[in-house]
Amino acid sequence: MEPQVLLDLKNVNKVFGNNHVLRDINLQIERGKFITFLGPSGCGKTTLLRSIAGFYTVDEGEVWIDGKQVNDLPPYKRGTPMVFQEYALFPHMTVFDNIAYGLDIKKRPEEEIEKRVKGALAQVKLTGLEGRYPHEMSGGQQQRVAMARALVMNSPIILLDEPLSNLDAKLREEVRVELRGIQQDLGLTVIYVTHDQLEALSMSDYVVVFNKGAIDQYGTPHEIYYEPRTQYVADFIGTTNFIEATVLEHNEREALVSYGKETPTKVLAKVLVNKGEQVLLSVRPESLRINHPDGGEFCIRATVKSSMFLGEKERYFLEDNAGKEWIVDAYDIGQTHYTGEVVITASADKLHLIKKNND
Amino acid sequence: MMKEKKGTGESMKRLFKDPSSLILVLTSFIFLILFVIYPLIVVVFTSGFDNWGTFFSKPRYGKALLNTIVSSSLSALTATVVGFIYAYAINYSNIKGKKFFRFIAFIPLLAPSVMSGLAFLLLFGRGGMISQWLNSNFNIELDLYGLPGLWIVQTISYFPLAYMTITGVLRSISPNLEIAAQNLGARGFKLFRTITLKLALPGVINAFLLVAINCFADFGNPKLIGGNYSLLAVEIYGEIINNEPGLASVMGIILVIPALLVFWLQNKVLSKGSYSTITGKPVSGLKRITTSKKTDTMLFIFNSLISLFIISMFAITILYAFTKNFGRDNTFTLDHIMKVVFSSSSPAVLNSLVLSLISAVLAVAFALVLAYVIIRKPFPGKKALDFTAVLPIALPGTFVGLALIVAFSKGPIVLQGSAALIVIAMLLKQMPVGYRGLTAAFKQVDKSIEEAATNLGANSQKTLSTIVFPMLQKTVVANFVYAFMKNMNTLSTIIFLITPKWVVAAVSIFNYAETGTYYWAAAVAVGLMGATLGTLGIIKLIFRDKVKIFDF
Repeated sequence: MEPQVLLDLKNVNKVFGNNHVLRDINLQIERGKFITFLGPSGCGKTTLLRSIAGFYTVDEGEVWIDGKQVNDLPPYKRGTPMVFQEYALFPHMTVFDNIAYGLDIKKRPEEEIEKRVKGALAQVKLTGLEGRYPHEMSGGQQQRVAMARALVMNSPIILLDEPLSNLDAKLREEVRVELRGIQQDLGLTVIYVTHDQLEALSMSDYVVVFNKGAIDQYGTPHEIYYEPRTQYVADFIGTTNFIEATVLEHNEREALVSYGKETPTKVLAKVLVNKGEQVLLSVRPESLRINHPDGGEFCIRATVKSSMFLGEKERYFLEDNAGKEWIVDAYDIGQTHYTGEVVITASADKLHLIKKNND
Repeated sequence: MMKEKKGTGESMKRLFKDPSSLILVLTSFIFLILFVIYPLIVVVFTSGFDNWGTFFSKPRYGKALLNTIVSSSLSALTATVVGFIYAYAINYSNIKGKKFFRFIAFIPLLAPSVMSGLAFLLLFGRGGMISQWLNSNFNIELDLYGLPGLWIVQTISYFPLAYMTITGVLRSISPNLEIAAQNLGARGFKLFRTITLKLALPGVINAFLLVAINCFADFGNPKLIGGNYSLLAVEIYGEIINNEPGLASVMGIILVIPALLVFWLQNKVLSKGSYSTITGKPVSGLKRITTSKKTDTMLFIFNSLISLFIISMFAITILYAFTKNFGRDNTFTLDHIMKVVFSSSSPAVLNSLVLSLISAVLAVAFALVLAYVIIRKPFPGKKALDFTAVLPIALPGTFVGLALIVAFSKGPIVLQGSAALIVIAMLLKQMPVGYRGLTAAFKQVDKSIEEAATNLGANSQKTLSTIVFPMLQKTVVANFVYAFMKNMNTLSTIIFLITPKWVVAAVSIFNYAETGTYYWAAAVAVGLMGATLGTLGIIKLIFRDKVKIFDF
């Protein structure tokens, strides 16, 4: 039986000169999953992807693909087709020749190549364009050719390096859906590098959040968004409000925390905390409510400073008595518009406890 | 703190994991060590103390050295001045016929420089057309053999080189700067002196140095026209004929020293002192108006005179080639051409064609491999390989030929008398040019395209042949054409290497001219130009718009 883990990274480190770009990366990726490497530029996500493809040799640690240690394998023997950010189509070849390139190298019989290239073209909806040259196509079409060129290899794993970053917003959304569809249909393992959190959240089975060359969190999109493990993750994904708090009491599941002068609140604690420890509470703008009749365990007074209409929601910028700024999103409120002093509330389960200073 | 794994051991390890790169790298190393480093070492050892003593004690050699310095400095100075004015007229004035003038500056490239010497003899030599005319009409005895004739011929031979170098610089000067200076009140000569000349100066100096080192080591024209005014390259030739490789090596080394100095200067000083890189974006449609009507007229007359000179040189050669004995019997004939170009007993033109083509193909292929491994592959000794690959550009052709004949006429590897040695000599001179050009082109190509090929399973050789070569095709073909033309016309590089069987056209022209059989010399020159043009035509037909050969 095939091992369930397709890609296994063991304590991977990479250094460029004095720059330690990958620090002790440990990651196991299961077969058939869509994994996103997420992080700002320079966080090491692309370096890790290229180390998997073999363009970089790791300075410490091991890379295992399909039960084989591949540290010493040159890129052309790794079988890890990649879609490049700039597509990297061969400008002097037709679409057909571009897609057939890898199969030609493998010396597959001509009929098989023809069949597989046609199949790949159909998958990316480019049937009929095999005679074109890359420069005769739009950016979106080029992107699809690059996809087809990787797909045609029938490799269990495909690497994508910010493949949608050169497309316009509308097209990006379209391709995102198609890409996820293809991945699920074929049961492919996809590693997808992006700095776009929306892309990461909407497509992935698992998201790996990178912070300065290390993995800050590995989890499902839901976990990443609602239960960020570090301040960095909470801050990087979406918008959030941080509240400084002190632990008064705690058990394995819950902690009683106090913030400012308000009454202490009980929150879920998924991490170990100590009595008296300074912690952060993260609460998303959409989890906060303004002047809501139901109230909530968390409650604070603030003054509306400004607001911004964003279509599906109104975003309010407020300031509490201590001078701290708050962001609250109000959805589906019709003509209601808040001004002056208001009460912000949230139920305790919306407050997510994060240990401080661990990034 | 963790360290990046690099250094010799690590890159060795990586190389051995990728056998296809290993083969390319090893071949490059072996070839360059064998044909660049080894001959250099042999020349140094052959020179020996005794020979250095002989060289400095015999006034004859000292005089040759002095003559060489004087004549090449004078020629370089005038060639640069002529080249500058010619280029300035084409790029800065409003004269008519610019396209024609560009074409005129290009045609000397089609013929070996020794053809200029031949044509000069046909015009101004003892039996020359103009000398005779002056003699019979004005009773003037014209004797230009020695320094004056050599000076004129080398100026005309090398002004296109200066012209091309300076044109490159003038074109890189943004018109904005001159327009800005005009806007601030600078006009006429003041504008020229403070802006144009200042900005072009590094390029002008570069042109001077290039011409100087070319003249310094040139063999053909000094031997033909110099007469008793002997130069080092000519002395080397004599010593090789006398079987004195030691003395020849001493003089070879003396030829190389200034060439290496200039090479070093170009790389270090001039590249830093160049202003042309900070000129910003060129603005299209902006036209400079920097010359007055009067200046334009003067520039036009100047360029016309130079063109007239060049045209008469080619015309007289053609006249000699197609007449029985021009001046005495002007009847049209194809006899000379048939005898020295198309007869199987004189294979010089055919030899030139075959050897030049083979050498140019190999030179460009090798340059491509070198550029690829040096830019894209990690391996130890990369700097050394790069240096060795570019080094021959700095070595005068005379020296390359000398080094090869000294190194391969005895010892472990004997190649003397073989066509292979001629091909290698030509290759060594042209490969570095292609290597530089391809390196520059390579840097323009997005690395990820090659990575994509590797990613899909292509090893180094596959990537090179299926991706890199087709993508750089334009540059490859351009460099091939250049190498081919240079090979066809080289004399200095191969003069020591040819054998009766493998005589080439440029040597033939020289030999016939020396023995005074001018119509045969002219016929070979015409045949050589015909072969060059024909080949270029075929290349143009094959590649159509993909290459620009006649780019005026």
